[in-house]
Amino acid sequence: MVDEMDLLSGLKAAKSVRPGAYEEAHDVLRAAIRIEQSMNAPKSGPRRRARWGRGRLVGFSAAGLAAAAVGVALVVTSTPSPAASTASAAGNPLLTRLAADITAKKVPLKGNATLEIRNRLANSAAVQTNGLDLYTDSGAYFWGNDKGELSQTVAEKETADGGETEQAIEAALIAAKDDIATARAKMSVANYPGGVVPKNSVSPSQAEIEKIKAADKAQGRPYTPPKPLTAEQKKEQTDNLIWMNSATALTAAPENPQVRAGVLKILATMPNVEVTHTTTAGQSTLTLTDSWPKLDPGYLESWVINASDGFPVAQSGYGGGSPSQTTYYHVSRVTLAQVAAGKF
Amino acid sequence: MTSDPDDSELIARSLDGNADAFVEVVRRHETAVGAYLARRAGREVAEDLLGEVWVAALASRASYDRSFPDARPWLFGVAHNTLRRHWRLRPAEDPVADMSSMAAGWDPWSAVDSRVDAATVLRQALRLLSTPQQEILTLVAWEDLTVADAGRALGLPPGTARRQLHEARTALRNAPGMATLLADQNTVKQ
Repeated sequence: MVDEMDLLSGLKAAKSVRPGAYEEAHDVLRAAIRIEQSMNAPKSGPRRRARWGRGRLVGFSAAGLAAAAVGVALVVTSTPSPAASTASAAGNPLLTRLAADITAKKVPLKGNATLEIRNRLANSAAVQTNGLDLYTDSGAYFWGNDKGELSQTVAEKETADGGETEQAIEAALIAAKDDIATARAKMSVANYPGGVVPKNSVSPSQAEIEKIKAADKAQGRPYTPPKPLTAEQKKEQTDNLIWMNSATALTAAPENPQVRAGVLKILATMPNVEVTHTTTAGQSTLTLTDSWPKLDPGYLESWVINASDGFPVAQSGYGGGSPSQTTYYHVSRVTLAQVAAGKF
Repeated sequence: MTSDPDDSELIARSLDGNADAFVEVVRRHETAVGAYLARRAGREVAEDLLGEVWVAALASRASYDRSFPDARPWLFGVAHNTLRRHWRLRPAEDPVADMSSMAAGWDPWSAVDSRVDAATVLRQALRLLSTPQQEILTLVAWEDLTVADAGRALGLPPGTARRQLHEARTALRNAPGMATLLADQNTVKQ
């Protein structure tokens, strides 16, 4: 006897979510966990939607934060060491030359904030699922799912992060003045509140160890202490954080030539970064690709920048042989008053 | 011999700082939640929203009722809320599969194939139901939840959920064309 529920069951077929999407969603989740831990607030979620909540992480630096999460799981036994890099001070000639060209150009800025729309469209700034990011010149960050929500958050001064964009920009500006060692050190911790590595990301507390022991005992497993990172992994972790935070600076203040130049000078010193000439959406571009084989084997991440001015154009991450979707960056200058009034 | 920890235990561990515990909860249910989203919004949107569902679940896990060992209904509830918010805030230029039922911000039928006659009749019948009736029907029929778990996903007490499902089934049976469709189906079966 067929009833109405049987008929309804017959309509449940739909195209399945692709396996790669599950992995991307894991990256988003792991990054959120990592950020939650770094904020030392494991029992309460963020009060408002953070920027990675709309996929920022996947299109931003999934491996970066995922690798940082690995660092926590494995217990980092020392703070990142920028001096551990083996890169030469001069660095990649393509990037250093572009940094010099950018520094020489004097282009006056309009407005007082940078509006950024991240989408999957190379030639259109249509708002898609990543919403809109707004970075003020004073370092504040706002996010909205659509223009109306962004206007509201700006009007209510509801910023969306803990100041890491400001710290990353500061590090880039130091690099622009050719103090690369100091800039790398600051960039490697720019994602942490106040630029200070949280205690719980360096080593677990005794209470946390006891919890792990109790959990293992409850499961009938012998207690296995978390393994510390190897020296190579620690070095990659540092490079990964520098890469990730440099991208934060580049996307937060792309209109500032000193920031672009500083970021390029830092990335020029990264040992695993490879730079190639490419063409993207009809413009001449440079594609920078980084990898962390000891921390995240098989994963690559690329940033595409304009070959003549260093503006961010696109970002991609590749893992396990399947390319992720590329995120394109569409950047414009606005004023906060315009945005608050919804006139943008 | 030990058994795997249930979802509520893993959520408790994640609140105690075990980063992998919550990921394990997600792994257990991601296929079901992904299918839930895909059936209601299509594969593309489902893939876009999946990460947001996990982050929302992570953020609200402190309020998880640990008397329930299975987190799937709760995750469906989080996905349900994420989907509603997505529809409510969707940019105007975003194409929509079917605008006719967007008023309430809820269109569970955009992924349904309407080319099949029986499906068309059923789909039209479903459109006559209220949004809560559609929601509870599909959670039971498509996601294989018990009526109590469907109620849990929607924030309804079990008694209310049972009443709503009963009313929904009655309304569906009594919708135009459904009596004939059911008669045809049962004639074929016999």
